[in-house]
Amino acid sequence: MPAPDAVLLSVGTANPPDRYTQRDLLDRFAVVDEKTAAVFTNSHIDHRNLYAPAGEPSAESQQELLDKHLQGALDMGGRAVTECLRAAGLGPADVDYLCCVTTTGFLCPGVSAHLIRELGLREDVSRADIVGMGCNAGLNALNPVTAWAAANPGRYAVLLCVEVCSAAYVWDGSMRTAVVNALFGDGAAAVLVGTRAPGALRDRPLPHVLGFSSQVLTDDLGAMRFDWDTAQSKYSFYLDPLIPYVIGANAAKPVLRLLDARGLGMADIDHWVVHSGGKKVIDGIKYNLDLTDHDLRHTRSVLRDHGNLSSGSFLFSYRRLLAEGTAKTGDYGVMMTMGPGTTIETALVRW
Amino acid sequence: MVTPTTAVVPQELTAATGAPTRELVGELRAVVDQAAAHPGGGALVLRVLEAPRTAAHPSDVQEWSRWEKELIRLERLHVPTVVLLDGEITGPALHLSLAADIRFATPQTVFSVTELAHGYLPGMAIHRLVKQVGLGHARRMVLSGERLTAPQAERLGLLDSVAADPAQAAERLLATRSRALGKPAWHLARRLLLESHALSTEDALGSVLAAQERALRERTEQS
Repeated sequence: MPAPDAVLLSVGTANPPDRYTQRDLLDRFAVVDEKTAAVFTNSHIDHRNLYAPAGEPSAESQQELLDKHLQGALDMGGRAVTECLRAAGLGPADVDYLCCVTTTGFLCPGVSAHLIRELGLREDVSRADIVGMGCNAGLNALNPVTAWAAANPGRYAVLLCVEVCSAAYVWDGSMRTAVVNALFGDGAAAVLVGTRAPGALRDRPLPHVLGFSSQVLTDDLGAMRFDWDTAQSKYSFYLDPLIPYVIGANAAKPVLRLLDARGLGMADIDHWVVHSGGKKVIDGIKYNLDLTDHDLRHTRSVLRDHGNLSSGSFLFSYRRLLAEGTAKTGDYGVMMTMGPGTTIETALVRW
Repeated sequence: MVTPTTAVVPQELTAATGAPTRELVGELRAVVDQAAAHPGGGALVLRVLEAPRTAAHPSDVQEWSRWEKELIRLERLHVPTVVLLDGEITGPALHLSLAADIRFATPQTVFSVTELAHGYLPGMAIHRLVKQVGLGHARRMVLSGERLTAPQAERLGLLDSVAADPAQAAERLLATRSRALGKPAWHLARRLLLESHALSTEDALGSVLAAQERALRERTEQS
């Protein structure tokens, strides 16, 4: 008998309570440099939720950033997991496996251990932490989480992507840091994975995870990376200006592999759940996969409302797709994330 | 129907003057499906025929919505679309013409918007007319009921040209433009043209650069 499909049962998201426009942030941090201001205002981002520092952003020490990461991860992560479980009519005691994804801070023990205590999960819960894989990591994590779910039918796994981007930044007036500081927002998204829908979700169309396809572009290993900034004693994220073209030029490869393996074509895909990497990256995907603005509506609206939330972004788009109520039984969807590696990750789902 | 550029065989579509009927939606869907399944390398040539005047009107908005969706599919086909026009071009015939890439008409062809007289809207034809001929001319056609002759339509850019034999004119154009038509760069250009009205310069630049990167890469890959 074949292993049962892992199904995405429910989703929950959370952000910090404080919400800022790009103009708010420029005013708050007294940015007068026109080039820096233009990076913020031309970002196609209206709002971002952030744990913004009260004082000078450059004054936050690495220790303060690490503390902020843990506190933010527990605050947002806890709320996202709780909402995700509640949507399925479940509680903390029902979780059998917890996988936490983060790149914005290094912790030992990892976020999962802290969250198990915070939420009061069972002491026999299995756990894993996927750390340092960047914006694509949500799908890198979904792959083993679905495998676990399929191998443990009837049990429940929670995947949490939690990124406190305001805990991983350098503010030094350079264009390099301006590009990063204008783009990323804080957010957490949790998805419940299992083979059997709990009673609260019976008869609802839910997406089965059918497979994954990856594209690792090692020629562009350095295109997105953390560097240690010795002068600031902080991690500084670097984004190569050519990333949109690298992603665009390679976007079709994993998608076609994913579809070919099941005898599907682009026209068979009803829903696209694409990471909100940034305006230019989204354009690169749009013109290379021949996607419409309608296909990318949630990707763009999540960018506009939250900025780039790194690993959790695609789950925010996924949540908006579900809320719309357009996905029906039999529909196919492709999930797509891209990030450091350089990597493009894809997953095929069917409702 | 989708044929090599050297041997254009027009597909005939009888467009009722009243409204897109269920039959016409089905007919257009079949044509678009067939073209969509074609490997490419040709063009879809539609001879739009004026149907005998009927009293057909759209029954509800769902039916109208299905028609609009087929027109959008036609507009985005991976093969160039050509329409050959003659006579009174109103209603569905006008909608089809506005969604096609390349348009030829006989000298006696006349364009007009007739839906308002029946108490409903010409649908996306409003949107496409404004994009293609500007608000001034679109206003006259939609609100004042102005009839546009083929030479006028040609001057406004609504037609490629007026010809006694539109099929022959189309065949000539398809032959002379065969190096560009339907090629990846041509598709990206068509898409950027259709999107151009909605974009600021900054947004357009991002789209153009993303598309240009693809065009240059595919050009290198092919040579």
